[in-house]
Amino acid sequence: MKKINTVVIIYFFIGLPISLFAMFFHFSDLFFSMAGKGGFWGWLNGFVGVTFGLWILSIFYLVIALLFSTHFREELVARMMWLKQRDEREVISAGAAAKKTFFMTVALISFLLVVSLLHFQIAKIPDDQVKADGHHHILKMGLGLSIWNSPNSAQTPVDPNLTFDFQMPLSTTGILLLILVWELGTFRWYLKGALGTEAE
Amino acid sequence: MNLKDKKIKIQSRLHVLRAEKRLTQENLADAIGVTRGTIVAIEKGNYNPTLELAFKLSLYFETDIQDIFFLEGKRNEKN
Repeated sequence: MKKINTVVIIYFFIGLPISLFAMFFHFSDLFFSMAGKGGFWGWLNGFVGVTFGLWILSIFYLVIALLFSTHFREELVARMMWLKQRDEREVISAGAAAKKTFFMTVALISFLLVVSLLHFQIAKIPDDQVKADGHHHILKMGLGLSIWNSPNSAQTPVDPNLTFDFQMPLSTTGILLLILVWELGTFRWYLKGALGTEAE
Repeated sequence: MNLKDKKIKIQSRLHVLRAEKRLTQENLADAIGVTRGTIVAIEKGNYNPTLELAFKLSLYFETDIQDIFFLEGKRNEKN
């Protein structure tokens, strides 16, 4: 069981950048058109696809193991920092890093929440409706307060007068991935800072 | 005496005791079951060990804890 834990954790960290690549580029039309030509791009397509699929499977294991296996949690910290928590200072440092990471993650999630609520639009005012002040554009700001995805939102017709439309550009998957990478990155950063300062 | 807001800086003579016994940081770390980084941190004053580790060090060097650790500016004169 311990060997499986180690293999899954190593694969999770190796597969993470490849999976990020897959999400950013692999599922794009450009990549698919290049992969269709075979050769290196075809091989890369297959490699990234298989790696991404296995990475998703590793996450299923990771979720269960993080909840129920103390050894897995310890192993995860050890692999993240090449740190075995061999003595009290390393345990205390890991705790302090976890505390700082918690607050950084709360800050990120709060920021993402605000961005996801905001909706900015700049629309052109039709010439026949321009008022005496002479303004040709109008700024609209809104707050989207719905928690559930509306199945009809995609069918809303696009206003042809819109010149700028900003709302949360990241998908749910993108947001969750960002939080995951942020959390792992900040924990590693703080732990390295706490332990690295004592090096001779 | 109100010590609520008093900042306390603990210093150690660990490097002196270690030198007297001609021990490397690695030797000492192995002997008491910590990493070399922890010994380095204690000697530099960057880490205050727990009471358990402090007692381990005092047992190892066969001396009192006060002879290893002391408040800044209040070192025991007998040392």
